[in-house]
Amino acid sequence: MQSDVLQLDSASLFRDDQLIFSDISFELKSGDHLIIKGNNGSGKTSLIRTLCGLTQLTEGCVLWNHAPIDTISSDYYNHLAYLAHTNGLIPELTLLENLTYSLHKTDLDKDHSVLEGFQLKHSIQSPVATLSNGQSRKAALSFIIMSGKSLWVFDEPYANLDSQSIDYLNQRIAAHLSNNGMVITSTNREEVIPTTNLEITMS
Amino acid sequence: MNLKQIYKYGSPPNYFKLSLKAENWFVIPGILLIIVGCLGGLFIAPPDYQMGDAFRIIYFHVPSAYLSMSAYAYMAGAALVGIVWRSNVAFSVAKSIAPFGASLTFLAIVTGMLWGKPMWGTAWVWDARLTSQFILLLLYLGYILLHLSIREQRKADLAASILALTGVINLPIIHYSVIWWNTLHQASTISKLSSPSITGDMLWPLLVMIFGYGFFFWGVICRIAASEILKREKRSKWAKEYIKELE
Amino acid sequence: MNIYQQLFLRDLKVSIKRWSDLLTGIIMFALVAFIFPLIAGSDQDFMHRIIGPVILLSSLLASLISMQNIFKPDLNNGSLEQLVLSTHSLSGLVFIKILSYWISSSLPLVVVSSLIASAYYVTGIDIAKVMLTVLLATTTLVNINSLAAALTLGVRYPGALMTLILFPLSLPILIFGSKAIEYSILGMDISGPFYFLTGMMLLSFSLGPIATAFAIRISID
Repeated sequence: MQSDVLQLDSASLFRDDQLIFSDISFELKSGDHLIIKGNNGSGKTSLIRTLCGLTQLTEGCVLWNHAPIDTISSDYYNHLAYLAHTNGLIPELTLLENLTYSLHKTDLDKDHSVLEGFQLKHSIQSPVATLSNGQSRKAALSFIIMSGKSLWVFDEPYANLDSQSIDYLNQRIAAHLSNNGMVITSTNREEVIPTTNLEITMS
Repeated sequence: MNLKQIYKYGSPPNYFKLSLKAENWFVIPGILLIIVGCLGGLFIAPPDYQMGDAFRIIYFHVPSAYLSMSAYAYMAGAALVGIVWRSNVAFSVAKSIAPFGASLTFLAIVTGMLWGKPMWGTAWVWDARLTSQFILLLLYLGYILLHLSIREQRKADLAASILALTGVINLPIIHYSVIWWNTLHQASTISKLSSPSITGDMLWPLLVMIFGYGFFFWGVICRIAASEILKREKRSKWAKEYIKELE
Repeated sequence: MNIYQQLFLRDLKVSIKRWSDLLTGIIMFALVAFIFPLIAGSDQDFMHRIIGPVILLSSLLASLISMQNIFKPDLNNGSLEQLVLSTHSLSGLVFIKILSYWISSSLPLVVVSSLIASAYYVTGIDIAKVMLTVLLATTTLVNINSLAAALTLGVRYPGALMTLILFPLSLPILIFGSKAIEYSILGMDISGPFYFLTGMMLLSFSLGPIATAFAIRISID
């Protein structure tokens, strides 16, 4: 099976004169799970945004299959699904409408078992604005899981989740990894993350 | 000069040193030309038979107006270079031109009004050129304000550069719209600020002033852009060495 | 259904759900046009002379009021970032966004302008010409608005800045638009201003989304 690789090469980020992070490198292959740990404000989100190509690095570059992501963004985004702090869901539309009109649709209509796993099946006709924080978060997570993309990038996915949902999320992550997927997670809740071989601690 | 040499001069430390050296080559001729132009325009040129001595304000008005418009074009050009080559030097030049260009525009408007008052009794006239100058001032102010409003300097550079490019594309459109509108509304009066054919004695001080303004402008921009670059690159080695040398 | 159709339908659906935002612009448009005769006099000749400028100015003010709704809500709920991360060209997606925004915010203005025109003693085919002017002028205005909104996405209180950016860039549209309406009422040949408005519409819809997409990438950085 094809193996993809995501590399970060001596990356630093300065915003004006403030150092956000410096000299970070890693290599992520298919089946790998990268955990980014750190306290609030340590630069986890900035690092993740540079990996998604949303923020420009001051030094260093992000390489997907040995090509800089600036040059192959369309191909890279074909493989990337990103969960930010905000959910990316439109609050005025219902969950089902968000699903139907989702711009990242690949397998989304086929398998709603993920929604069941997160206990959202019965809320599918409710406007997202009426869901609780936890439910919206779970909905956003389901969209990523159902998207069929190979690289999942989560920014603090465990926020607002109950323990049952945390277990389910970890299950799905494990399934994805064994299916040759790649996952990047940032979190400040150390106790809930699964064990992994790749870790970065931000300071 | 081949491409490699241009890239070399485009790097911050080289540009910095070059512009500090070049500054005097621009400012001193500029001041001299302005002095000569003032003497020629204010004293040597004969008084206009229609307007008397009041016409002499054009020696300040026309260079300001002309330079204000070309400065915007230079600013947009620097903005384009900055975007395409991600050049801090180009962005510094563009940022430095803006307040200077805005001041020139303001000067052009004020001198235009000073010209109008003795000639036609009213300070402001809805003439195509004065109105265009006012619009140009708004374009400059928009650029400056956008720069100030965005906290992160790199983002501010890029956003303001887009504004400058949009402005420069629209500038001819705006200018000709205003002229067209003006010809419809001012059909009864002759275009007020158009200068009738101007004689040699009156013309040469005007040309001297235009060149003088231009030289002085570029000299000042050299210095302002240089200090801007120093500010931006203060973390880099060459900047720290330069500052150490000063102490 | 391809991604552009999807985005278009989604945005239309959303703007219908956010109908109160749309209404603000329409109300602004109608009220400004309504206020003029109330405070400036209502004899027919005078109203025929001011209807051009009034309609264009009302369009400008209405667009100013609702400008933030183009991108700010999407930035806040995270869908703008997801748009940037799409495999499709951001300029194309932004084009669709601007188009759907134009349909939801400006087409109602075209309808309302017909009512205003008849209130201003305009009759017959001239009302259609007024509506056409508003149709064409708003296409360019909406693109300028999008660019200004995208540039100021990161600014906290962008009101004055947006006005300052908007005004010089929209001046040609205001000039030619009000001339178009004036000529319609006087029965003169309107092709000059209309060609200009159409040309500006084509220029702004071709360059606008590209510039706006670039501005969005910068603001999101």
